[in-house]
Amino acid sequence: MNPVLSLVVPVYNLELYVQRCLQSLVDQTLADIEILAVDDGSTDDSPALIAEFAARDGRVRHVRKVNGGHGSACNAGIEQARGKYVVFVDGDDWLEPDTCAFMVERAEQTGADLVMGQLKYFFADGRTDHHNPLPLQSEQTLDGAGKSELFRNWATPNARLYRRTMFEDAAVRFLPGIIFADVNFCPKSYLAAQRIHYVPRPLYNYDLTRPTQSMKQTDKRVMNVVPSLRDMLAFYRAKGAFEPWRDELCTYTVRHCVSWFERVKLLGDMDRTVALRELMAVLDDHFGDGWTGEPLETFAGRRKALLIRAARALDYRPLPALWELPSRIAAADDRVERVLGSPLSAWQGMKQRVKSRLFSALSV
Amino acid sequence: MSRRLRGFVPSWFFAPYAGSADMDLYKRLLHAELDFDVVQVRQGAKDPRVLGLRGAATFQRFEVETDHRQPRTRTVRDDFHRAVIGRFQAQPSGYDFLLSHSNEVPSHAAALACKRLAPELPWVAYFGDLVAKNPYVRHLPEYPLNDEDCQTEALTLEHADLVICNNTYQRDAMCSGALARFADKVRVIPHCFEPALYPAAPPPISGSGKFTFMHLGTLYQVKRRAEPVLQAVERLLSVYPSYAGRFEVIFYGGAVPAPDLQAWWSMRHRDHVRFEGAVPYLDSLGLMQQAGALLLIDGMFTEAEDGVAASPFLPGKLLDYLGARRPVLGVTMARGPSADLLGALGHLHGDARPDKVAWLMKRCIDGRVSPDYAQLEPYTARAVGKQMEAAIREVVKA
Repeated sequence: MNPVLSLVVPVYNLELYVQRCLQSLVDQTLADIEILAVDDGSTDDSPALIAEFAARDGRVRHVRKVNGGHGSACNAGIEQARGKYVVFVDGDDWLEPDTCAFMVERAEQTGADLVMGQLKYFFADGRTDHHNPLPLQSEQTLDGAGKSELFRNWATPNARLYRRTMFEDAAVRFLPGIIFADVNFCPKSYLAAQRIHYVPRPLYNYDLTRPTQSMKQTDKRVMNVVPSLRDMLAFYRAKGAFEPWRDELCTYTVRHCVSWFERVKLLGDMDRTVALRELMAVLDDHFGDGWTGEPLETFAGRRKALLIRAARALDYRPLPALWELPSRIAAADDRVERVLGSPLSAWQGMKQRVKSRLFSALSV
Repeated sequence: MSRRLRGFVPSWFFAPYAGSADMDLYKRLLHAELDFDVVQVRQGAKDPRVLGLRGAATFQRFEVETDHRQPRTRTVRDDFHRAVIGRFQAQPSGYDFLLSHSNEVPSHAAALACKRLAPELPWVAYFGDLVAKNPYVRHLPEYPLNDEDCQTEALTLEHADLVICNNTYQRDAMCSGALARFADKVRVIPHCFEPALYPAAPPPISGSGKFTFMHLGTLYQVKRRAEPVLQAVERLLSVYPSYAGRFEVIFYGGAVPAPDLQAWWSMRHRDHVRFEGAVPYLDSLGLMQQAGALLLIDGMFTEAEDGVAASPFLPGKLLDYLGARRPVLGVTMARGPSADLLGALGHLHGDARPDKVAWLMKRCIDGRVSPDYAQLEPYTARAVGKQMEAAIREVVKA
């Protein structure tokens, strides 16, 4: 007999956390579950801990695989899942005891393919906060406008319950082998779900206290967002859904590309002009000039939109040099000040005034 | 039965002073069936209990009075050197071998002078630590006479008949570059612990009933700091709040380095950590027996910052920890003698990432560590003493 819910838990080197996560799952008030703890090639004590849980509780299954990244681990869980519904819980996060019962109950009541809620953030200083993926105050099944709103907000596969039949389409998967697989997966799930139900209640405890083990900001893997977005857009085209969802997809893609501008700025091991071209080509290839107007200004603001449009006209060539300019000027000032033996107060003041006027002019 | 041999031993540090350097050579010679005339520097407080131990060795000690607090000055070194040579010249034919011990390195310099006076006398030199390749030195703002020590190390490797190191990483680091040709004359004999030094019935664990992590020994301003453990306490209590009040971490030692004090002040859970003063060596062994787990913090060097891929240090304290038969949690470099030994004996070790240390602490508190105390025999002072004796006899016979 298949369980009502499959909990997919991707784990990679999470020995300090995985016990908290798995304990929160075996302690769920909803007993009719299976827990697929997917060890993504961990090199620490995580596999032993998973094995202990599996030995203690027959509902826990230890899925082992070679390391392939978060998305690949989620996919492995999807392939093994037998439940009517699927929930993803990262191995360093955890759920409150009644979360699964609540989500399944809502799915059954509403017939939703996708139930989504809020995340509760836990910060290092002990604070907590709620992250709401949608600016909605009340529980509701999303209509057209509500679905559109999904594309304007940050996507996460967590705090969500999926009807497993959504995954019968083998294209509804995380793009494996990349980071930012969430960016790729979420819009696919919005299309695959016929009915999406939103509840304004925290359904997921998200640990932000963990010392960062993610890549350095200068790592060129930040450019993984490019294949992530391209694959997602190709999915919509393959389903014949690109045109009906064009505006939403444009919004979603602009939002990510504009945000990634700041990451490209910090790139250390890749030519930043090349990176910018690669990133923004996603927009050009799918939306032509259509993204440079209102969608761009919505997320970038007028000043930054102007800058991006100008940079685009020049094939993004001047931007890296522009990014360097303040530090180059500061270094030159420093050298002059050292030679003179006194600060260049008047010069600094003039620079500040020029900068303010320039920005003010650009804002008009 | 082989005849008893008599050795002349310049050793700046030696028992009954009870610092770790004082105890190092004493413990490893205690069970050798040999006689030793030891010339040592008079240190601070003695612990007469130390010399009450019965072993196979006999020790006749000669103390040099000088300013023991300033070993890195010319005057003090000259005092020691003169005293050693004077004592040796009084009876140069009365010995079968020379044995010198660093630290301090002037012990070797004095032995070299003796060797030059009696070239036929076999010379065994034991290095507690490496000198020229010591990765701490570049982090010390002032370290006088280091060039002299490096030169002494090289001369000792060249002229000693046998060199003893306490681990293979130390040997490999010392015998690298131009000194690689001396690697063949190095014998590795590990540090040891003396079971008889531990209280037969350790005093009961005081107070709270909490699980107690204990660190005994000196923390440094750089590289060997408490901070990874302090951060780990924060991590553990952040991820598992139910562990609050269930454990404490106690650092016994001298002055707490300012960066560690600052880190402690900024902790959310600093009530779980306290710093206590230094404890006399023998008392520290009794304390170790009371610990829930013993914390070892090695110098955390990196290839990028220090050019060091493996730790060259085997802390003598680690062997004392092992002798206390309590679980040990080592914050160590991935490669090095501490990691090798702790791994082989079923203790826990990991790098300085707070999550890693927190996880190892959790394992200790949960009782998820099973050291293999049956494998400790090779690290007893008796076993090591026999190795020392065999090495010395080999050189004398040759």
